[in-house]
Amino acid sequence: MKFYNLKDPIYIFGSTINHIIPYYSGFTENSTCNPVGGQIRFCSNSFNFSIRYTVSASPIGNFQNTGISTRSGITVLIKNNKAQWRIVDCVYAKESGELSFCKSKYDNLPAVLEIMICLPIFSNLSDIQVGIDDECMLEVIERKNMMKILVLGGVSSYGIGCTSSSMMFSNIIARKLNCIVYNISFNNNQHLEVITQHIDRIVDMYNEFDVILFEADYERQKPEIVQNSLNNILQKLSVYKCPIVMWNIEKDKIYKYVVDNKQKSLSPVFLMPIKEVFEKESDLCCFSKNFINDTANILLYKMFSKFFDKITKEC
Amino acid sequence: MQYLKHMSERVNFVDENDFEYINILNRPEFIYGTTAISGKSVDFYKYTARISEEILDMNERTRIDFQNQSSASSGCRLRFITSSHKVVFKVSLKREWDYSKMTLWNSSGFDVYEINGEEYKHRTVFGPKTGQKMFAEILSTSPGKGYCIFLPNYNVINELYIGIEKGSQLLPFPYKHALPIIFYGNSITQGASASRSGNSTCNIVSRQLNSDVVNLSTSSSCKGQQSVAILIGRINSKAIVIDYTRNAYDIKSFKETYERFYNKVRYYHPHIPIILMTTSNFHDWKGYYGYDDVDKETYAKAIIRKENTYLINQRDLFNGDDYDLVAVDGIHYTDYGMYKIAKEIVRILKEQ
Repeated sequence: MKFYNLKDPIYIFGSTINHIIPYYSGFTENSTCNPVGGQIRFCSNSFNFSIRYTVSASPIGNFQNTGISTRSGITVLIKNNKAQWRIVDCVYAKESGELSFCKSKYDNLPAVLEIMICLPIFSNLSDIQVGIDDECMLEVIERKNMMKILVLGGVSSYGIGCTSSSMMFSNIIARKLNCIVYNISFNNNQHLEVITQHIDRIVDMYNEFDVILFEADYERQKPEIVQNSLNNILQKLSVYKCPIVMWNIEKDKIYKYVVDNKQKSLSPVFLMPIKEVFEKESDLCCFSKNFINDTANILLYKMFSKFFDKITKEC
Repeated sequence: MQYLKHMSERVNFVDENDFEYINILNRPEFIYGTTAISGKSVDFYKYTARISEEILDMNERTRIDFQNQSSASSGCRLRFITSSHKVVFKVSLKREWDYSKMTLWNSSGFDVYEINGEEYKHRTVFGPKTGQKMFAEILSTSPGKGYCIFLPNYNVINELYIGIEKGSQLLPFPYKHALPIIFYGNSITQGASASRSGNSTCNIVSRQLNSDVVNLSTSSSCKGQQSVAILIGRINSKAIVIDYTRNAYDIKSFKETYERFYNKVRYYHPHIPIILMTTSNFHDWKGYYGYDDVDKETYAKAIIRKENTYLINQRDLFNGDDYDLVAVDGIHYTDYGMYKIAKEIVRILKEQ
């Protein structure tokens, strides 16, 4: 087998893996970077694969609702010959781990296999490599025509509540809609305040987005923070001139800000009062008012997917 | 939540002088879902000593999983009515670490539902963080209402005390219809990988039918032994769900054991519904296809004999485009998957 370094940016999609925004673990600011919401994608004609990875700085905290594979592990997916994604496995290792698989064990696979690796949300990914058969090639995925989506938000966008990182709605969107999703989220109850601190840097770093999915509120967020931050964030995001979908909101609470923004002719803003759906389906979707689970992430993907069609028509 | 160094440590969120504690493990009338129906203490152990010895003689993986899981409280519930306005829980668990494919609120979670008539309303879920196994938690309760707490799916309860306000009462909260539904299966049937303990298929079915359940599933140990079929045969029950497939050593041993297992269970329960399940295989793993053929053949023979038997083809319940959403690793269900399977079981049982 020959091994390739997958930390090369040509294989990394949507990750903040190399950027300079610190993440918040909820109780402490960590100055190092983690790959939250990122994926590694590539193709290969190899028959056998071996993915080796090393993680570090795995925090121990109150993460009873979030699987350790999401926090510090990886999930590997493959695309079959019907363009459907299949999960090979989700794994966790305290420091170094390896996941090997052979194409012959799975049905319906094409000669050149597309692979996606969903990365951990808390641990630093110190190293990740893939080993393939000696005579085979590793190919880069073409990203020229892919839609670019910004997921901007707090605890739920960050992946808190997911059993494995492949269940994060941002990762589901990335693979199902074959687009690049930049997940810039903060594990912080007052996430609008944190976004305000970083919004200028975000706007400097990224030139264009086709859609922005903005987790605009959170159960524990103080109303004054919403009042002080929301307009400013929306104004800064309007530079992208793309639709902004605001979700996780109580309709009445946010409505006046949206009206204000429309008056200023900023980007088109769409409200998705998803909280009402989650409350109705709380047994299926929620741990509590504060945290959503895998199923809620699946529903979010399905709603956004439908919404993208609507947005495309309206804009 | 307060983490404890020892069980006699005082909690800091109430004045313990105003509370009296009950050792729930000495009060079996509060716990549902165990197979031990006699004795003065709660026994979470799923199997008899003889069956356990048989399983412990199997391969190493089975032995290790069985040692960890055979007395896990999966499928068990704590049910009570109280006149106390607050209830304090003091819990000591066996394991303090995560499993790689589930959250701690599943493996070690106490998932609390309030019951009004037949309606279950989710209240909260609690459980310790990584590295902790002894803790205290408080729950505010409405006097006169029933509570059903789904116990950890992948942990063992060593000690469980409930503190109620002095002078108040804690009463058992039995089901209207006593006969349970039995579940026999693998790690998925035990509860992996629901997001919280109440959302395993078995527990969802229990809620939706407001029915007692007995979950005999232990990860890796579901081998379709005749001794287990006899154990199931001897439990008076209203339905049986058999999710025995991929824990078999190989397809050869599966063929040798599956139909025999079903026939033995059917011998003891000639009339009640028995639901068979195909494999949970959402990553198109070729190795499992043969197992499904054996399931289908056994089912077909049962139908010819006009037995009250059903087959749930798990893959057929989902669209192929959704297979990457159904299970966290291609096998172990998310709540999304658990709910769909539960819905199908409930549909079949409601038609009886």
